[in-house]
Amino acid sequence: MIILVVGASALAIGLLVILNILIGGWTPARLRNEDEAAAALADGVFGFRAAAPVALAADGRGALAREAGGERLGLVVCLGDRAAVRALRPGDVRSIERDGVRLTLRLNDYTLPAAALRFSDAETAQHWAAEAEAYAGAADAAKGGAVHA
Amino acid sequence: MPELPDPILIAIPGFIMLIVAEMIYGRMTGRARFEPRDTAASLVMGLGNTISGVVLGGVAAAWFVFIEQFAVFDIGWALWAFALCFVLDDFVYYWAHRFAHTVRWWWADHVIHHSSQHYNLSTALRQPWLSPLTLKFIFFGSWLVVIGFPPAMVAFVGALNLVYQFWIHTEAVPKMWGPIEAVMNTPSHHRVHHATNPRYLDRNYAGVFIIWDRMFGTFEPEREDEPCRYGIVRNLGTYNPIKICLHEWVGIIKDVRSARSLREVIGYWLGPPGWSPDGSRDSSKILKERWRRQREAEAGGGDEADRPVAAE
Repeated sequence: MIILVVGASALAIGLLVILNILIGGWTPARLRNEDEAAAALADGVFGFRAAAPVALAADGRGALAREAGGERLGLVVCLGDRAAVRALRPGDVRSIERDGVRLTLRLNDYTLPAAALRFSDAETAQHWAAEAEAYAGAADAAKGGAVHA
Repeated sequence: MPELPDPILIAIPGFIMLIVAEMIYGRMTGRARFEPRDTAASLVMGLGNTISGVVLGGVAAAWFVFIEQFAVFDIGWALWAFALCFVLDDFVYYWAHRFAHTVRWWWADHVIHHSSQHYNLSTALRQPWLSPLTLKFIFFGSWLVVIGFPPAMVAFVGALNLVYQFWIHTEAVPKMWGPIEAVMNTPSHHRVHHATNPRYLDRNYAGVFIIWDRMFGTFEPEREDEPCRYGIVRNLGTYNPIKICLHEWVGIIKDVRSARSLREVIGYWLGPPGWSPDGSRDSSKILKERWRRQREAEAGGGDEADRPVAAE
């Protein structure tokens, strides 16, 4: 009986997701400009004010910005039609990889272990790789779990 | 003892039909938004919750059978008892829910329900998998049984409470008629509960009746000038159900391992979500205080805070 209920539920889930795909109505999130990236940071991390320049990924699916008057590095990663936002502190970045225009930050973050941003030019990627260096290193023990809402 | 049906099992077909209806209505009007991976994650969490209820639910059932012998009264199965049990269960739900937001051990379980940045009927089914292991049922589930309500009746009205709460997880229903909004938990009230705007944080814990929030000072109305932003303060970067299920537990373990004193262990484990020894993290209390100060500064002529400013 339980197997039947679980099987039927799994089938119903599959059908609902297929219906969701067929119906559409969502669009992948994209940051159209630096102001939108700054607004995403301000919405995602209360009190975070992005300092110029804001580095926007060429496809608009991510951004980086230093905090104005603060020590944090703001990161926006678009996920589906929404975005995950982080205010990184020293120790939050596990490693940094740069390949031409592509910058990958590997994070000490269980639900956002990596963020890959493709910039319009290699110079921007290099600049932000250097900026991110300040946030790399041993995991800060005082970081951690999601907080409420 | 009467044969009581399982209201949740009976309601599942209705849940599915309403989700389909909301998807179609949302597509036609733009008043509800679904994203397939988010929808899939929420529904898989719901299925996992059902399975874990079968696997782990016996722990809670055994506890209730055990404590039934200590019942003060023998209330029995009269209709008035069902009605009274339903209201009292909702009162207990309010407090259980409030503690689920203010004690990290229980928040680690409940955060799953809040972890979607969408707010639609599939979000209602995004439920935790490990609830019985938090032992919340001992602290909050025991009261009605000890008073004398039969455990099966308590379980029945608790299930009715959850079925009621399904339909309020939607943006498709605007504010309702005043008297309904005054007494009942509605989509509008519950949108506030799921919002991360500092004004809305830790508000509207009600299950069925919003009167508990009004009585205990946790009520906040939805405002047209402040649309709800859904999710959690630190939104997830994944749709992986295992990570959704475990992420806050992983956070607790990491923090407790890094603790330098018993006080820190207890703070990380049982303190409010976001607690840290030096107050450097964003707990709800800290966020609300910063928001209050920002509002005061803005009222005194402060500037907008969401535009990039020139680097020094």
